[in-house]
Amino acid sequence: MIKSGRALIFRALLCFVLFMLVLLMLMMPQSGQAGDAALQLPHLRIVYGAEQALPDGTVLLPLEIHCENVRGDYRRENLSAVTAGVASLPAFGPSVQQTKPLVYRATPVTRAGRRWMLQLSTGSPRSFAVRVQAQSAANGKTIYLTAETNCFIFGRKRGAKAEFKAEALPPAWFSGLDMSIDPSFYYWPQTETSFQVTVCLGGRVLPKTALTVFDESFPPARYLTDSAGRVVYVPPNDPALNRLSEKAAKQVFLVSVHNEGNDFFVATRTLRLHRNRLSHFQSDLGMALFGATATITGGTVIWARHRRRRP
Amino acid sequence: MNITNLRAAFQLLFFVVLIYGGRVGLRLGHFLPCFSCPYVSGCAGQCYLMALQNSFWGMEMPLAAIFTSRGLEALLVFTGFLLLTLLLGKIWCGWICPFGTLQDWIAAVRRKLGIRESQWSWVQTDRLKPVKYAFLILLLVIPLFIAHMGLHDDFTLPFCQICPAKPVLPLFAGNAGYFSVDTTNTITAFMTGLSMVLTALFLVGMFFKDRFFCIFCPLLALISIFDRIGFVRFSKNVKTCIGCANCQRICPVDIRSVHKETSKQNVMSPECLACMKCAESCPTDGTLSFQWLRWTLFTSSFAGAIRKLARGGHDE
Repeated sequence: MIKSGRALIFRALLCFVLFMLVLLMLMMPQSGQAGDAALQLPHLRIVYGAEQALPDGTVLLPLEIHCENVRGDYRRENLSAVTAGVASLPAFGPSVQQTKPLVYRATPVTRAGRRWMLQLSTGSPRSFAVRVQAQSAANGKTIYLTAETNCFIFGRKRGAKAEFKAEALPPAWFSGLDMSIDPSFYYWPQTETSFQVTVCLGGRVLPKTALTVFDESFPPARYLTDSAGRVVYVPPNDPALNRLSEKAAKQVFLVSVHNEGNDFFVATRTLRLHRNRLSHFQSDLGMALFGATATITGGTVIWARHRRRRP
Repeated sequence: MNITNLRAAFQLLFFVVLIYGGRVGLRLGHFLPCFSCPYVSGCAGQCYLMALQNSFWGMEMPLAAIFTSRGLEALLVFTGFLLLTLLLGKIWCGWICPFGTLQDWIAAVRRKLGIRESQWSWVQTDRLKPVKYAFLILLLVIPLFIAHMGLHDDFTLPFCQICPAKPVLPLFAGNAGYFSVDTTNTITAFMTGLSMVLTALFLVGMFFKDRFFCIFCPLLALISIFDRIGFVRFSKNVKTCIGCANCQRICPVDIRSVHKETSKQNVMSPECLACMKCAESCPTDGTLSFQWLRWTLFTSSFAGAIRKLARGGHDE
């Protein structure tokens, strides 16, 4: 009897654990099935290098282009037509109130071992939109890869003028999936602020498209675009980032995959995120500390003056 | 118009210009020798202490970069500060500084309430004098430690982080946001907590003692370095001084040296704010005078002292 009772309890516990596991999996679709497609297909990532300030005030920013998930049929060697375009605007004003379409100009991409490199340089404060495109073909399937990022570089060279002289890239150059982000030129992208991401292909928005977020501090998270092809992404508070300096930033990669027949389209956007500047400001605590100190100090002064006056 | 009212009018004018001037496009640069706080949204110019901490020595510019274009930029900012300091010297403190003006307004409220100013012994005053130099050294050294010794970046702008002007002056632009503790990490919590404690201490101090913050002001310490070569001079005719000690009694920062001086003509002390209250209350003609190069800005007179006395002397 006792033995069978134990077995019953054991079975009940097992059922409960299994039920909880199923429930957990159902309740956490965002992380449970995170970015299956994004995890399986190769995708490009623009990875920021260390900014370098030259003595004349010019600032160089190397960008590395990594190709992730190159396995199976999709080998790095299959990657072809790696090209890059860079649009540049003055850092403030025009880029913040940008209404005209960006003019991308061809920028040389160099191969360095297992990765590709491109370098941004400016002598004046400018904002940049960078787009890298590549293709990979295997077994009759073609993958169109794009990677994008927007950034500011604050050059300090005296009398510096616009650097880009290359021809504007023709519309035919733009292939693959577009992943635009709003705000696009955000001087200080930070956690706990919302970004609206729109995924489209050839000007056509893509509803119900998966967007996977790769953040080194968290497991991959998966979102679906709405009927307008949009998804609102709010980077969560990151205690590890908070412990670093205000200037420290982490790189977060948003990956979206879409397929039409044998053509696969993979878009990646790199976000360089800082910790949130204001969300941790506790005004109640500040006022309490201020009030308590003022009361104690004021009281002490009044008491001391009163005591001194007494004969 | 007497010098006290003239000064009050100038202070009000500069307070409005420096706090709100940026809203009408006024840009006076980031090398002002007064507490025109950059944390005030829409301010017209910025206190030089921020540039000093951030650019000249700080992590944005390692020592190796001093002889580059960035070094030149820092040098230009310093030159701007130096020129303004040489031109007006301590007049920045006594007539222009918005935080100094605020202190005068708080003291005026105290006087209206009939509360007497706290009196300190000379020993106490003398002991507190070096604190402003300690602040100045710390605000120069800490950014160097960040840049070259691996001190955490969150100590950036160390003085700005604890300066009482940072939470107080933005109140005039409708921003009470700096009365907060930033719990992002231990360092930010410590620095913002310290800022709240010091702000409370200084505000209480300002209420009970005239120009309380100026005793500890590192910018005053920096400006006073250039007193000897500045265009603003404060001189005393020791032969006509009758030793009444009015200058000592009326001084908001308790300077004794003007009264005690018996031989030298130049009586500009490092603590002097050029408020000219001493010259206004001096009852002998031409004993105390403020000059700008050769031109006399203000000089003491018997008639002036009598008028001041008639207005209520110290407590006007």
